Amino acid sequence: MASDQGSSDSPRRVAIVDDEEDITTFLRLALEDAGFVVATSNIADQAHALLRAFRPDLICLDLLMPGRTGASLYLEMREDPELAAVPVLILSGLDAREELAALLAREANVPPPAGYVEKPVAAEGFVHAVRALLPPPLDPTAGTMPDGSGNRGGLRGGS
Amino acid sequence: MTPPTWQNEQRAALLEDIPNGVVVIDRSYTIVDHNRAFAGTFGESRGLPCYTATKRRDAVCATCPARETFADGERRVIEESGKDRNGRATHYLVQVTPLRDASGTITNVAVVTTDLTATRRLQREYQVLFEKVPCYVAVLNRDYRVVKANEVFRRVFGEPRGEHCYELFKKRHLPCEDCPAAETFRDGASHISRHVGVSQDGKPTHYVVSTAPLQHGPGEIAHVIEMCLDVTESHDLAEQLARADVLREALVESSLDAIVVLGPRGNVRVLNPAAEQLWNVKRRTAVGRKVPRRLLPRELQPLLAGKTDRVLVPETAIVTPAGERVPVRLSGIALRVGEEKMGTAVIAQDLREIKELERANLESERLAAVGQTVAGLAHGIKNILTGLEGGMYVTSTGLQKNDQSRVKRGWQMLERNMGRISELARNLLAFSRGETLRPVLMDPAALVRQAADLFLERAAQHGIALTVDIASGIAPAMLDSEGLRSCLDNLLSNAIDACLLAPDGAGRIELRLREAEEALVFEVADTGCGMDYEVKQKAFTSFFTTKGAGGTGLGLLLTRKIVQQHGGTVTFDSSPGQGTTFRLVLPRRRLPTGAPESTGKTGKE
Repeated sequence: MASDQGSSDSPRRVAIVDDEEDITTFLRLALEDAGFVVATSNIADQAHALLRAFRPDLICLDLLMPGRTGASLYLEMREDPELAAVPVLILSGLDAREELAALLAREANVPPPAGYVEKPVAAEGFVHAVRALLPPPLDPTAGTMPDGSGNRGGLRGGS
Repeated sequence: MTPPTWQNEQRAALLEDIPNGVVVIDRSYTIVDHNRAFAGTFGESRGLPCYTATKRRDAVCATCPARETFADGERRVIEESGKDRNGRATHYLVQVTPLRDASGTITNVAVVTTDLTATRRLQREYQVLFEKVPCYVAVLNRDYRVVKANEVFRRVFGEPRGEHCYELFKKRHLPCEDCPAAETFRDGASHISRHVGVSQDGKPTHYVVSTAPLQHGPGEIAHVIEMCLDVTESHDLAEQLARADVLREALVESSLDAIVVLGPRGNVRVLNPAAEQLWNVKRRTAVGRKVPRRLLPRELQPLLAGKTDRVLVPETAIVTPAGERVPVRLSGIALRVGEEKMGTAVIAQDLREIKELERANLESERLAAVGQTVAGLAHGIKNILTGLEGGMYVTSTGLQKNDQSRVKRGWQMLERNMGRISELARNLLAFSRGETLRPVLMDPAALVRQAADLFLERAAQHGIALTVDIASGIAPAMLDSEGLRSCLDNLLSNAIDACLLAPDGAGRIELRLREAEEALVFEVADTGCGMDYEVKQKAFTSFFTTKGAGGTGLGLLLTRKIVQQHGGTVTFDSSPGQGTTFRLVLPRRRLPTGAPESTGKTGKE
């Protein structure tokens, strides 16, 4: 279990790793608008260090990146005891499920990711997926935003 | 009654003149009288003992027939051997007759000799022939049993014990149907035929069998002489030759390569079906004729002129009688027996199909690239769409929150991604249309230096060292300079990005040009982030970029396309965390020729 479960009003922490800056900007703003604390990384090699420091409750990972693929980063995360329990949401535009399945078939004992989101991704759908994958908060009345706006669902993005 | 005197004289004359020797000897073996023939053989011998005169002996012969006739008064005939007056051996038939006086007492014997020497010599000669001739000679009786055989026969089969000839030669139990001896027995004429028998060690043996009658009197033939000549060796050789001939014939006829054999004066001797097809001539018309010079590649001339014995040309062309030029791979060799040149053999491989395959292969590689492009396109577009989605969200929420900076940011995202879509569309169109190459003869090294110059500063800005390594003596080649420049630019740009992504930051890039096995080799090697297995798989297929938000990733695909248009290949080696080397290999023989080459939909060479 994530070490930082937090109390009912501490915001959930989400990390996003994708090589495209426009995408990380977009997704970060969407999540922050929904009351999450977000950290992003555009460089896979630096991502692992960032993740350990940030201690997210959920990690969003793009599978296809130059240098290192998200797949190898995923494996690395599963092997790191500090990150192994954190649920992972895979973002990808290219038959992500099949690619990862092939990888997982090769590596025994590696659990599959918690969920998949195919690009292009709309803001509402994305936030919904993140919420669905996060472990439920201890206090059912959690969700009060630090800015008090009560705005939870995020705005409609494009279709 | 006493015969009249004139009859006595006649008798005397007769005795004197007959060819047989006649001699009269008395009881003391002294020669009393003899005729001219006797004297001719043994010399004047009256008064000499007969054993001295005829045999040069000192004493009476142990087997003397005269002594026996003196004793029993019987006539006898025997064969005798002696020495004539020159000391040569003589053989004669001796007939001894007692001569009685009035009282009936044997006073003398008359010996009539018939000279057998010549006959004997002939007999001996025939005997030698019979024995020594190097084939089996056997005398057969009407039951086909061997009653007499020569030395060669006896050496193989042992003394004749009355076996049937078919038992010995063929290990059969019954007479042969086609027995030549049978025919000779029937018609008394000689017969000759071929037979197959079995040797002592069970191997098939081929014989030429010849039979002749041995007739000793009228009536049916009692014996036949049979001569069997063992021709197995020459038979086997002939068979081997026939088999080798069959093999040679089959090879030549069925060869997919054209085979032409010319005689010493250049006339066509052999023209196999593949050659008929290549030159589009019929064997009928070509064989025996001289080949016109223009139909053969000029590389063959030294061979035909006798200046060389071997010619090997990987690529040249022959000309058909109709004037059509056909690319071929050619090999020629002089055919010699000892020093004498018997002719020339030319083997030609039609390259049309191979060239067509090469062209089709290049074309299908290009099409595959286009196919992969479509797959990779989806990924790139999804990223751009997500960017647009993001732009809209950010702009929209910015307006809602009245956050000007957010609105600005969102709008920039929209603009940027719209630009990316446009560029993508443009590049894709250019890619699939298939640009026309405009190759010119140029110095590849100059190209490399230009590219390096352009990127040197950009690399330095990022703290990356860029070095150039160009081998010396690289000959000019037909290259599309604009196309190849864009390839090098793309690779260098990617290399810089890779170095920027590397954890330690101080990257190095080396740009190389060298010549290997008659091909130009361009290399861009970096010490950047490298690619792991998954990325390598996707390098040419996906649209991921090394530039984050910039670029469309079509770069590598375009690079590959341009390289393929030059007849070359793109490969890379990469280790994650260590670096990547991209290699462009352009074999000289596949470089474009002068005419601008289009690999677009028309597809014609």
